Amino acid sequence: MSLVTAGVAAAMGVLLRGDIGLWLDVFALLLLGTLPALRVVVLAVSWSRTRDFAFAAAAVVLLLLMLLGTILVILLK
Amino acid sequence: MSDTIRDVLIIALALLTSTVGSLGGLGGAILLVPLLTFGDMTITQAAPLGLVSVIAGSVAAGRNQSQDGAVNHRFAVVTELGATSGAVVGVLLSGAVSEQMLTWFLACLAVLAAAGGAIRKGVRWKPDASLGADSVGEHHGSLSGVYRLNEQQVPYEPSRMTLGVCLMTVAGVVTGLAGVGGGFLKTPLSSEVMRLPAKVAAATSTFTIGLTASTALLLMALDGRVVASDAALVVLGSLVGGTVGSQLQRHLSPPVVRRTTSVVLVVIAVVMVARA
Repeated sequence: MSLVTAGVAAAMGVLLRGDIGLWLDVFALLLLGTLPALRVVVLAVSWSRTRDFAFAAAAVVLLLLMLLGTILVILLK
Repeated sequence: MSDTIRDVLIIALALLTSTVGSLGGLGGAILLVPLLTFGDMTITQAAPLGLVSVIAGSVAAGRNQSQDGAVNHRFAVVTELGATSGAVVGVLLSGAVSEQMLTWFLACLAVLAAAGGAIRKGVRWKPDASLGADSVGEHHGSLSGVYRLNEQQVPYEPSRMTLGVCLMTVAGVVTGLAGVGGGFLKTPLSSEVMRLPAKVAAATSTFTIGLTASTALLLMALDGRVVASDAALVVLGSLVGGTVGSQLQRHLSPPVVRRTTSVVLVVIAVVMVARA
Protein backbone atom coordinates (compact mmCIF):
# COMPACT_ATOMS: atom_id res chain seq x y z
CA MET A 1 0.00 0.00 0.00
CA SER A 2 2.75 2.45 1.04
CA LEU A 3 4.76 1.38 -1.98
CA VAL A 4 1.91 2.16 -4.39
CA THR A 5 1.23 5.48 -2.62
CA ALA A 6 4.89 6.47 -2.97
CA GLY A 7 4.91 5.46 -6.63
CA VAL A 8 1.71 7.38 -7.42
CA ALA A 9 2.96 10.45 -5.53
CA ALA A 10 6.28 10.37 -7.43
CA ALA A 11 4.48 9.95 -10.78
CA MET A 12 2.05 12.81 -10.02
CA GLY A 13 4.98 14.95 -8.88
CA VAL A 14 6.81 14.34 -12.15
CA LEU A 15 3.71 15.11 -14.23
CA LEU A 16 2.45 18.16 -12.32
CA ARG A 17 5.74 19.93 -11.49
CA GLY A 18 5.42 23.38 -9.85
CA ASP A 19 4.85 23.69 -6.08
CA ILE A 20 2.30 20.87 -5.87
CA GLY A 21 4.62 18.60 -7.86
CA LEU A 22 7.49 19.41 -5.52
CA TRP A 23 5.40 18.63 -2.42
CA LEU A 24 4.35 15.32 -3.96
CA ASP A 25 8.01 14.50 -4.75
CA VAL A 26 9.00 15.29 -1.14
CA PHE A 27 6.08 13.21 0.19
CA ALA A 28 7.12 10.21 -1.97
CA LEU A 29 10.71 10.51 -0.75
CA LEU A 30 9.72 10.82 2.92
CA LEU A 31 7.44 7.81 2.65
CA LEU A 32 10.05 5.67 0.88
CA GLY A 33 12.85 6.82 3.19
CA THR A 34 11.00 5.73 6.32
CA LEU A 35 9.77 2.37 4.98
CA PRO A 36 12.97 0.32 5.62
CA ALA A 37 13.19 1.45 9.27
CA LEU A 38 9.43 0.95 9.70
CA ARG A 39 9.87 -2.60 8.47
CA VAL A 40 12.37 -3.25 11.29
CA VAL A 41 9.90 -1.75 13.81
CA VAL A 42 7.18 -4.09 12.48
CA LEU A 43 9.59 -7.04 12.72
CA ALA A 44 10.51 -6.16 16.34
CA VAL A 45 6.83 -5.98 17.33
CA SER A 46 5.96 -9.18 15.46
CA TRP A 47 8.87 -11.13 16.98
CA SER A 48 8.10 -9.94 20.49
CA ARG A 49 4.44 -11.00 20.01
CA THR A 50 5.59 -14.51 19.04
CA ARG A 51 7.93 -14.52 22.07
CA ASP A 52 11.06 -14.51 19.89
CA PHE A 53 12.61 -12.05 22.33
CA ALA A 54 16.28 -12.44 21.35
CA PHE A 55 15.64 -11.33 17.76
CA ALA A 56 13.11 -8.67 18.85
CA ALA A 57 15.83 -7.22 21.09
CA ALA A 58 18.35 -7.40 18.23
CA ALA A 59 15.95 -5.41 16.01
CA VAL A 60 15.48 -2.75 18.71
CA VAL A 61 19.26 -2.52 19.22
CA LEU A 62 19.69 -2.12 15.45
CA LEU A 63 17.20 0.77 15.36
CA LEU A 64 18.93 2.42 18.33
CA LEU A 65 22.30 1.91 16.65
CA MET A 66 21.04 3.58 13.45
CA LEU A 67 19.65 6.50 15.48
CA LEU A 68 22.82 6.85 17.57
CA GLY A 69 24.99 6.59 14.45
CA THR A 70 23.02 9.32 12.72
CA ILE A 71 23.26 11.62 15.75
CA LEU A 72 27.00 10.93 16.12
CA VAL A 73 27.68 11.65 12.46
CA ILE A 74 25.64 14.90 12.61
CA LEU A 75 27.47 16.03 15.75
CA LEU A 76 30.99 14.99 14.83
CA LYS A 77 31.25 15.53 11.07
CA MET B 1 19.37 17.77 -24.29
CA SER B 2 15.71 18.68 -23.66
CA ASP B 3 14.25 18.33 -20.15
CA THR B 4 11.89 15.55 -21.23
CA ILE B 5 14.68 13.45 -22.76
CA ARG B 6 16.81 14.02 -19.64
CA ASP B 7 13.92 12.91 -17.38
CA VAL B 8 13.22 9.79 -19.47
CA LEU B 9 16.93 8.93 -19.45
CA ILE B 10 17.13 9.21 -15.64
CA ILE B 11 14.04 6.96 -15.27
CA ALA B 12 15.49 4.41 -17.74
CA LEU B 13 18.90 4.32 -16.02
CA ALA B 14 17.28 3.92 -12.59
CA LEU B 15 15.10 1.10 -13.94
CA LEU B 16 18.05 -0.74 -15.49
CA THR B 17 20.42 -0.42 -12.54
CA SER B 18 17.74 -1.32 -9.96
CA THR B 19 16.82 -4.42 -11.96
CA VAL B 20 20.43 -5.60 -11.94
CA GLY B 21 20.91 -4.45 -8.34
CA SER B 22 17.92 -6.28 -6.88
CA LEU B 23 18.63 -9.42 -8.92
CA GLY B 24 22.06 -9.82 -7.37
CA GLY B 25 21.48 -8.02 -4.05
CA LEU B 26 24.14 -5.48 -4.96
CA GLY B 27 22.03 -2.31 -4.95
CA GLY B 28 21.95 -0.19 -8.07
CA ALA B 29 23.74 2.90 -6.76
CA ILE B 30 27.24 1.76 -7.55
CA LEU B 31 26.21 1.50 -11.23
CA LEU B 32 23.73 4.40 -11.36
CA VAL B 33 25.95 7.08 -9.83
CA PRO B 34 28.80 6.79 -12.40
CA LEU B 35 26.24 6.60 -15.25
CA LEU B 36 24.53 9.80 -14.07
CA THR B 37 27.86 11.60 -13.94
CA PHE B 38 28.33 10.94 -17.68
CA GLY B 39 25.50 13.48 -18.15
CA ASP B 40 25.23 16.93 -16.59
CA MET B 41 25.47 15.83 -12.94
CA THR B 42 28.37 16.01 -10.53
CA ILE B 43 29.06 13.10 -8.18
CA THR B 44 27.75 15.22 -5.28
CA GLN B 45 24.38 15.58 -7.05
CA ALA B 46 24.28 11.96 -8.24
CA ALA B 47 25.15 10.28 -4.91
CA PRO B 48 21.79 11.02 -3.17
CA LEU B 49 19.95 9.77 -6.28
CA GLY B 50 21.93 6.53 -5.98
CA LEU B 51 20.67 6.14 -2.41
CA VAL B 52 17.08 6.85 -3.48
CA SER B 53 17.42 4.14 -6.14
CA VAL B 54 18.69 1.63 -3.55
CA ILE B 55 15.79 2.35 -1.16
CA ALA B 56 13.10 2.22 -3.86
CA GLY B 57 14.60 -0.93 -5.41
CA SER B 58 14.88 -2.56 -1.99
CA VAL B 59 11.29 -1.78 -0.97
CA ALA B 60 9.88 -2.85 -4.36
CA ALA B 61 11.84 -6.11 -4.47
CA GLY B 62 11.03 -6.89 -0.83
CA ARG B 63 7.39 -7.75 -1.53
CA ASN B 64 8.11 -10.55 -4.04
CA GLN B 65 11.19 -11.77 -2.20
CA SER B 66 9.34 -12.05 1.13
CA GLN B 67 6.56 -14.09 -0.52
CA ASP B 68 9.18 -16.64 -1.63
CA GLY B 69 10.76 -16.74 1.83
CA ALA B 70 13.93 -15.41 0.20
CA VAL B 71 14.51 -12.65 2.76
CA ASN B 72 15.82 -13.92 6.10
CA HIS B 73 14.99 -10.94 8.34
CA ARG B 74 16.54 -12.48 11.46
CA PHE B 75 19.84 -13.04 9.63
CA ALA B 76 19.59 -9.49 8.22
CA VAL B 77 19.10 -7.90 11.66
CA VAL B 78 21.95 -9.87 13.26
CA THR B 79 24.48 -9.16 10.50
CA GLU B 80 23.35 -5.54 10.16
CA LEU B 81 24.25 -4.95 13.83
CA GLY B 82 27.89 -5.49 12.82
CA ALA B 83 27.62 -3.69 9.48
CA THR B 84 25.91 -0.60 10.97
CA SER B 85 28.44 -0.33 13.83
CA GLY B 86 31.24 -0.58 11.27
CA ALA B 87 29.60 1.94 8.96
CA VAL B 88 29.34 4.55 11.75
CA VAL B 89 33.05 4.10 12.53
CA GLY B 90 33.83 4.26 8.79
CA VAL B 91 31.86 7.47 8.24
CA LEU B 92 33.55 9.11 11.23
CA LEU B 93 36.98 8.05 9.91
CA SER B 94 36.23 9.05 6.30
CA GLY B 95 38.94 11.26 4.88
CA ALA B 96 41.62 9.42 6.87
CA VAL B 97 42.35 7.08 3.95
CA SER B 98 43.20 8.25 0.44
CA GLU B 99 40.15 7.99 -1.85
CA GLN B 100 42.19 6.42 -4.65
CA MET B 101 43.66 3.74 -2.41
CA LEU B 102 40.19 2.96 -1.04
CA THR B 103 38.75 2.66 -4.55
CA TRP B 104 41.46 0.22 -5.63
CA PHE B 105 40.92 -1.78 -2.43
CA LEU B 106 37.14 -1.94 -3.05
CA ALA B 107 37.70 -2.95 -6.68
CA CYS B 108 40.02 -5.79 -5.56
CA LEU B 109 37.40 -6.95 -3.02
CA ALA B 110 34.71 -6.90 -5.73
CA VAL B 111 36.88 -9.05 -8.04
CA LEU B 112 37.68 -11.47 -5.19
CA ALA B 113 33.98 -11.75 -4.36
CA ALA B 114 33.19 -12.30 -8.05
CA ALA B 115 35.79 -15.09 -8.25
CA GLY B 116 34.40 -16.72 -5.09
CA GLY B 117 30.91 -16.90 -6.57
CA ALA B 118 32.01 -17.92 -10.07
CA ILE B 119 34.46 -20.67 -9.08
CA ARG B 120 32.01 -22.58 -6.86
CA LYS B 121 30.10 -25.26 -8.78
CA GLY B 122 26.67 -26.76 -8.13
CA VAL B 123 24.07 -25.91 -5.52
CA ARG B 124 24.87 -26.07 -1.81
CA TRP B 125 21.29 -26.44 -0.54
CA LYS B 126 19.01 -29.02 -2.20
CA PRO B 127 15.18 -29.07 -2.31
CA ASP B 128 13.48 -31.29 0.28
CA ALA B 129 10.46 -33.14 -1.15
CA SER B 130 9.06 -33.78 2.32
CA LEU B 131 8.53 -30.05 2.91
CA GLY B 132 5.21 -28.47 1.96
CA ALA B 133 4.52 -24.95 0.72
CA ASP B 134 3.49 -23.92 4.24
CA SER B 135 7.06 -24.52 5.49
CA VAL B 136 8.42 -21.54 3.51
CA GLY B 137 9.83 -18.82 5.78
CA GLU B 138 12.15 -18.26 8.70
CA HIS B 139 12.29 -20.51 11.75
CA HIS B 140 11.25 -19.11 15.13
CA GLY B 141 14.24 -18.38 17.37
CA SER B 142 16.82 -19.42 14.77
CA LEU B 143 18.64 -18.15 11.69
CA SER B 144 17.61 -21.14 9.58
CA GLY B 145 14.70 -21.21 7.17
CA VAL B 146 13.11 -22.57 4.01
CA TYR B 147 12.80 -20.76 0.68
CA ARG B 148 10.83 -21.51 -2.46
CA LEU B 149 12.71 -22.49 -5.62
CA ASN B 150 10.72 -23.45 -8.74
CA GLU B 151 7.74 -24.73 -6.73
CA GLN B 152 10.06 -26.75 -4.48
CA GLN B 153 11.04 -26.02 -0.89
CA VAL B 154 14.72 -25.66 0.01
CA PRO B 155 15.81 -25.75 3.69
CA TYR B 156 19.02 -23.96 4.70
CA GLU B 157 20.98 -23.01 7.79
CA PRO B 158 23.73 -20.37 7.80
CA SER B 159 27.01 -21.22 9.51
CA ARG B 160 30.24 -19.45 10.63
CA MET B 161 28.13 -16.58 11.98
CA THR B 162 30.81 -15.20 14.34
CA LEU B 163 33.33 -14.92 11.51
CA GLY B 164 30.62 -13.58 9.20
CA VAL B 165 29.44 -10.83 11.59
CA CYS B 166 33.09 -9.80 12.20
CA LEU B 167 33.64 -9.56 8.43
CA MET B 168 30.33 -7.66 8.05
CA THR B 169 31.65 -5.16 10.62
CA VAL B 170 34.84 -4.74 8.56
CA ALA B 171 32.69 -4.41 5.41
CA GLY B 172 30.67 -1.75 7.26
CA VAL B 173 33.85 0.22 8.06
CA VAL B 174 34.94 -0.01 4.40
CA THR B 175 31.52 1.08 3.07
CA GLY B 176 31.33 3.90 5.62
CA LEU B 177 34.78 5.10 4.54
CA ALA B 178 33.86 4.91 0.85
CA GLY B 179 30.29 6.19 1.19
CA VAL B 180 28.72 3.22 -0.64
CA GLY B 181 25.86 0.90 0.37
CA GLY B 182 28.01 -2.20 0.42
CA GLY B 183 25.65 -4.72 -1.18
CA PHE B 184 28.52 -5.91 -3.36
CA LEU B 185 30.36 -6.95 -0.18
CA LYS B 186 27.39 -8.11 1.92
CA THR B 187 25.93 -10.52 -0.66
CA PRO B 188 29.17 -12.51 -1.26
CA LEU B 189 29.92 -12.54 2.49
CA SER B 190 26.46 -13.95 3.26
CA SER B 191 26.66 -16.47 0.45
CA GLU B 192 30.28 -17.61 0.52
CA VAL B 193 31.29 -17.13 4.18
CA MET B 194 28.01 -17.72 6.04
CA ARG B 195 26.74 -20.17 3.42
CA LEU B 196 23.34 -18.67 2.80
CA PRO B 197 21.77 -19.80 -0.51
CA ALA B 198 22.62 -17.32 -3.32
CA LYS B 199 19.01 -16.16 -3.71
CA VAL B 200 18.48 -15.71 0.04
CA ALA B 201 21.81 -13.86 0.31
CA ALA B 202 20.82 -11.52 -2.55
CA ALA B 203 17.31 -10.86 -1.22
CA THR B 204 18.48 -10.39 2.38
CA SER B 205 21.22 -8.03 1.23
CA THR B 206 18.68 -6.04 -0.82
CA PHE B 207 16.71 -5.55 2.43
CA THR B 208 19.73 -4.49 4.50
CA ILE B 209 21.15 -2.04 1.95
CA GLY B 210 17.74 -0.32 1.91
CA LEU B 211 18.19 0.27 5.65
CA THR B 212 21.73 1.62 5.24
CA ALA B 213 20.70 3.82 2.33
CA SER B 214 17.73 5.33 4.20
CA THR B 215 20.04 6.43 7.04
CA ALA B 216 22.58 7.85 4.57
CA LEU B 217 19.82 9.64 2.63
CA LEU B 218 18.58 11.28 5.83
CA LEU B 219 22.09 12.65 6.44
CA MET B 220 22.31 13.96 2.85
CA ALA B 221 18.82 15.50 3.09
CA LEU B 222 19.85 17.32 6.28
CA ASP B 223 22.86 18.54 4.32
CA GLY B 224 20.50 19.93 1.62
CA ARG B 225 21.91 17.68 -1.11
CA VAL B 226 18.69 15.96 -2.28
CA VAL B 227 16.98 17.41 -5.39
CA ALA B 228 13.40 16.17 -4.93
CA SER B 229 12.35 16.51 -8.59
CA ASP B 230 15.26 14.32 -9.83
CA ALA B 231 14.75 11.92 -6.93
CA ALA B 232 11.10 11.39 -7.96
CA LEU B 233 12.27 10.29 -11.42
CA VAL B 234 14.64 7.79 -9.81
CA VAL B 235 11.84 6.55 -7.52
CA LEU B 236 9.68 5.79 -10.56
CA GLY B 237 12.41 3.89 -12.42
CA SER B 238 13.68 2.02 -9.36
CA LEU B 239 10.23 0.90 -8.14
CA VAL B 240 9.72 -0.80 -11.51
CA GLY B 241 13.35 -2.02 -11.65
CA GLY B 242 13.18 -3.54 -8.15
CA THR B 243 9.99 -5.40 -9.07
CA VAL B 244 11.42 -6.66 -12.38
CA GLY B 245 14.70 -7.74 -10.71
CA SER B 246 12.90 -9.72 -8.01
CA GLN B 247 10.67 -11.40 -10.64
CA LEU B 248 13.76 -12.37 -12.64
CA GLN B 249 15.39 -13.71 -9.49
CA ARG B 250 12.29 -15.87 -8.90
CA HIS B 251 12.69 -17.57 -12.29
CA LEU B 252 16.48 -17.97 -12.51
CA SER B 253 18.40 -20.89 -10.98
CA PRO B 254 20.84 -20.19 -8.08
CA PRO B 255 23.99 -20.83 -10.21
CA VAL B 256 22.71 -18.33 -12.81
CA VAL B 257 22.03 -15.73 -10.07
CA ARG B 258 25.52 -16.40 -8.65
CA ARG B 259 27.24 -16.05 -12.03
CA THR B 260 25.23 -12.95 -12.97
CA THR B 261 26.25 -11.44 -9.63
CA SER B 262 29.89 -12.29 -10.38
CA VAL B 263 29.72 -10.59 -13.80
CA VAL B 264 28.12 -7.46 -12.28
CA LEU B 265 30.79 -7.43 -9.55
CA VAL B 266 33.52 -7.41 -12.21
CA VAL B 267 31.71 -4.56 -14.02
CA ILE B 268 31.52 -2.68 -10.70
CA ALA B 269 35.29 -3.20 -10.19
CA VAL B 270 36.01 -1.85 -13.68
CA VAL B 271 33.71 1.17 -13.13
CA MET B 272 35.47 1.89 -9.82
CA VAL B 273 38.93 1.73 -11.34
CA ALA B 274 37.80 3.89 -14.29
CA ARG B 275 36.47 6.49 -11.84
CA ALA B 276 39.68 6.40 -9.81
